Amino acid sequence: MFVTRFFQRPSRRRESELELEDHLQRETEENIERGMSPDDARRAAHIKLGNVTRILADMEQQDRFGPLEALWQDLRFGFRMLLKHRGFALVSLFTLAIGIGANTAIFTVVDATLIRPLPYPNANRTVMVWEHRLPDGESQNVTSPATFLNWQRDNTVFDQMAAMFNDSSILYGDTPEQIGTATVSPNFFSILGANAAIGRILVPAEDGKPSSNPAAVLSFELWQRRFASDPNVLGTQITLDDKPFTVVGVMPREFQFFVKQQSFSPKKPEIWVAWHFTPQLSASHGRFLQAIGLLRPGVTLMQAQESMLRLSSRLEAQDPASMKNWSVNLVPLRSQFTGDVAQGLRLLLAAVGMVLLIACANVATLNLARASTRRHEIAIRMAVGASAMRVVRQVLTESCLLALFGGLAGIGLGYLCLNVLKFIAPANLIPLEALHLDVRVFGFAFAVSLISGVLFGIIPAIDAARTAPREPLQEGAMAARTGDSRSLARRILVVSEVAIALVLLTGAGLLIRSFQRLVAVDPGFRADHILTAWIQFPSARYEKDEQKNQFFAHLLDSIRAIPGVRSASADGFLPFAGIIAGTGVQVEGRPILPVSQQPDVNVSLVEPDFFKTLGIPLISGRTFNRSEAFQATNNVVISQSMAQMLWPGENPLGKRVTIYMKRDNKPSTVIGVVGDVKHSGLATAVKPTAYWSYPELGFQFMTLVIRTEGDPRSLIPDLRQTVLRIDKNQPIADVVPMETLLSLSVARTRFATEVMAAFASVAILLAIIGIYGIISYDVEQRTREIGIRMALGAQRTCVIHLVLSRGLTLAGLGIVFGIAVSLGVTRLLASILYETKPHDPATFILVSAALAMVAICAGYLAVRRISNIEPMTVLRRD
Amino acid sequence: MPKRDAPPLEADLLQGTLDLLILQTLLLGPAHGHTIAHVIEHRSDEVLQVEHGSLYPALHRLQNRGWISSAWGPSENNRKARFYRLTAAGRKQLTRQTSRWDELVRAVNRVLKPVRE
Repeated sequence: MFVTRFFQRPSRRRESELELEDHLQRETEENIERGMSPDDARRAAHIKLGNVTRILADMEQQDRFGPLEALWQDLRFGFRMLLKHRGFALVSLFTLAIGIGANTAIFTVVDATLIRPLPYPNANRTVMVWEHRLPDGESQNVTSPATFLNWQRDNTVFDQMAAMFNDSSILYGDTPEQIGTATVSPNFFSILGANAAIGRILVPAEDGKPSSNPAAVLSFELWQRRFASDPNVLGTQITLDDKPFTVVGVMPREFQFFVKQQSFSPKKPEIWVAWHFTPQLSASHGRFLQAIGLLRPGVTLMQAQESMLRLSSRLEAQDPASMKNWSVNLVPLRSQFTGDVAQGLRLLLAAVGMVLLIACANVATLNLARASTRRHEIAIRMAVGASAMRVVRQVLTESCLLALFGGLAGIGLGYLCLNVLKFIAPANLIPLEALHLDVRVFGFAFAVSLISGVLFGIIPAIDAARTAPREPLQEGAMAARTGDSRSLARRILVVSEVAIALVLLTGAGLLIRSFQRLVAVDPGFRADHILTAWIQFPSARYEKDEQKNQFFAHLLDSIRAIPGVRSASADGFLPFAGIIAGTGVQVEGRPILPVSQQPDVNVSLVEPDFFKTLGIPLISGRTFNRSEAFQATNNVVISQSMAQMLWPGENPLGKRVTIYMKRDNKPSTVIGVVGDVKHSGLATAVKPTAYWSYPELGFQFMTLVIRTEGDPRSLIPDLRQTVLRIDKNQPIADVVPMETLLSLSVARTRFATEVMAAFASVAILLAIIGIYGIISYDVEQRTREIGIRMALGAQRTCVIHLVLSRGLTLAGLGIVFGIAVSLGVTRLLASILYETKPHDPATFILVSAALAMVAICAGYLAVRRISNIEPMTVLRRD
Repeated sequence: MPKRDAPPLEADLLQGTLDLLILQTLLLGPAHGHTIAHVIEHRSDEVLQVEHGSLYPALHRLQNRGWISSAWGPSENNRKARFYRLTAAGRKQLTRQTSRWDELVRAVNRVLKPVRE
């Protein structure tokens, strides 16, 4: 009510004016009736009523809403002050825009990735259920059908559980296409709480039973791409890997569910079909299933984890052969999707927060400097009765106003930053399509602006309020003064600014150093001039082993015939492309070990020329010859680390070892030893690996590896043609140069390093402005002192030295504090750094030296103007 | 510095009295400012000279408190005037203030009488 009256003041005032005029007229008329002359009558009426302006003011006073009105006054005054001190305002605005803009951009990413709810209604109750392989600490391992079914039957904490298997299949049609598919328990969608946009989801009542008509649910994107968004798509027959399915539903656009961890296929699923657990499958102990569970209402993650651990030890007691050394691990869906990204993002958020702090310190310093020139104005305000509180409020309003303008500019800058981020961010790191400025981001920018306004305004505000009115009013009284509390505050600000800049710089330095070491790691093969392509055919097509062997041999011969191809081969599990198979081994002639104690090795299948094509060195023995591409011979080529693990100090050639993956489990003879390959990333350790020739297992999928003379990309059309000539229904997928795979594997680290480096550069820039600002302000304030010193005979260089050394002492202090803080903070980086200690002395020294150099340069620029001081002019000025 | 919106005590007392008189006047029916001033003067046998200048701020204040309401309407010689009317809350306030006033008068009288005796 108060507030409405406040805003209705103008109209209320007009009404009162009319009313008073009416009163005067009536009084005048009465006076005329009493016999006065009109003029006298009017005057008497006026005298009786009193001062009209004062009456109106009295009434208006009642409608005042103090705080709001004062705010309005402060805002208008603040705006005028900003216009008056345009230079100050522009520099502050620019500084703040950088700080707020960078924060806005990073917040947008954090919001899209970590804060916004997942697009599944039950996301908060859904957890991933993994097996935990104790010997090597793999805490997110896929599980087996047998274990999953036991979990599903015996657990007490989940309403429902579902199993998933991500595969890829050929979707036939005009152009056969290799697409990601997921085979899921029929209750998969209802666990997530997701529903179909068209048709229905898979349901236990209809799907996944022996009698079920095979049903498929399409992703929105696939429906658009392959079915032209046909609304009558339901009931359509599709063929996946030669098996028929009926389309029963299309998921909404925002529905995606792909957990990459240990996924058999790296493609995100676009078709979902139902599991049918045959008795044979149900008894299988092969681990390949991902599992999710819907927590019962009221059950916490901790309770569920403990209950599942108990269940897991019961299962181990029942079946030690396959369950020993395996535990269980529950991961909430959100952490599953953002786990590895979250840490990096928090790091960036912390870094960008520091940039904002520096920006605030900078503006606060500027504000303090300006406060000195405003001492007069504030002294007058206080002398005529402004309370200290009122002065604080005035200064704070001004700084918040400035910060809000800075925030506006910051949102603009943030928008630019976001586009740059989108450009440099690796795919799959952050949901790029979800990045846009919305109400939440504006709210964030607004809040950050206000907070920074208070942050950089509070010290100058308190300082202003402490001003004793008398002192600045005495002209020239303080001209020769040197140290006071104001300059102390400024000094503290500059020291902290330099310290924060050093922390950022150290962080960036460590990341850069770690990144350099990472990319310098030898992957064990030569990635240049290599083209790779995934090829997979349905089991129904080539049933006999000979057919498969011949298909690949023929295909590789045709590829070798393409001009520009140096050599060609194929690998079952390509390095840097995802998973690899693993199993236990038993050396012939040694005591038989139980399964859980067997040494573990990776296993892959290769075609002839594989090691030559990829440039993996042969260390001893031989590799597979052409005839071994047609027939299983029980020969094996092993990696150096496998040789060292199984036969340390012995010659492994001719030795026999059983690698448990074939049905007959016959021992294989070692025919050659090759160099180690980093299979799953530059930062990972090498694993002992065994290579069989293709016919030993005869996978339905292989990755072609082709060494070219020129740019591998230029070979892509010829490669597609060659494959289609051999089989017109056979697509190839994931056609990428090996170098791309390699750089994708470090893309995330590169991204974090680049962004950190950018923040550190901004921090340095701001620190330069800060140091330059304080020293040049020092010079300006002490012109008189310097003039006197020089008039008394001080050498110009001495004076420069004096001023410079004061400024640099601050920078030095900042560096020392910065080092101290960095020593504590960089430990948080330890898990991200590769072969770089968080306290890496070289980085610390380099960074401190760099910052010191920068400080000296900034300081030197600032003291140059001392050379222009003429002692006589300065002294005459007073 | 004194607070802007806290007038001195005696003004408070006088203000309260004026408020009471205005409310009492409006009990007879709606009236405009000029009438109210004169009614108070006449009914107090010209003892209470209402300072016209303070009448209007008082009306404004009473209206802000919701004790009276106002509307523009036609008056005697075909002119428009702002008429004030007592609200239900104002009526209640009048009763309360009247009894307080009576108490005050009795208390003052008790103090004054012994001196005369």
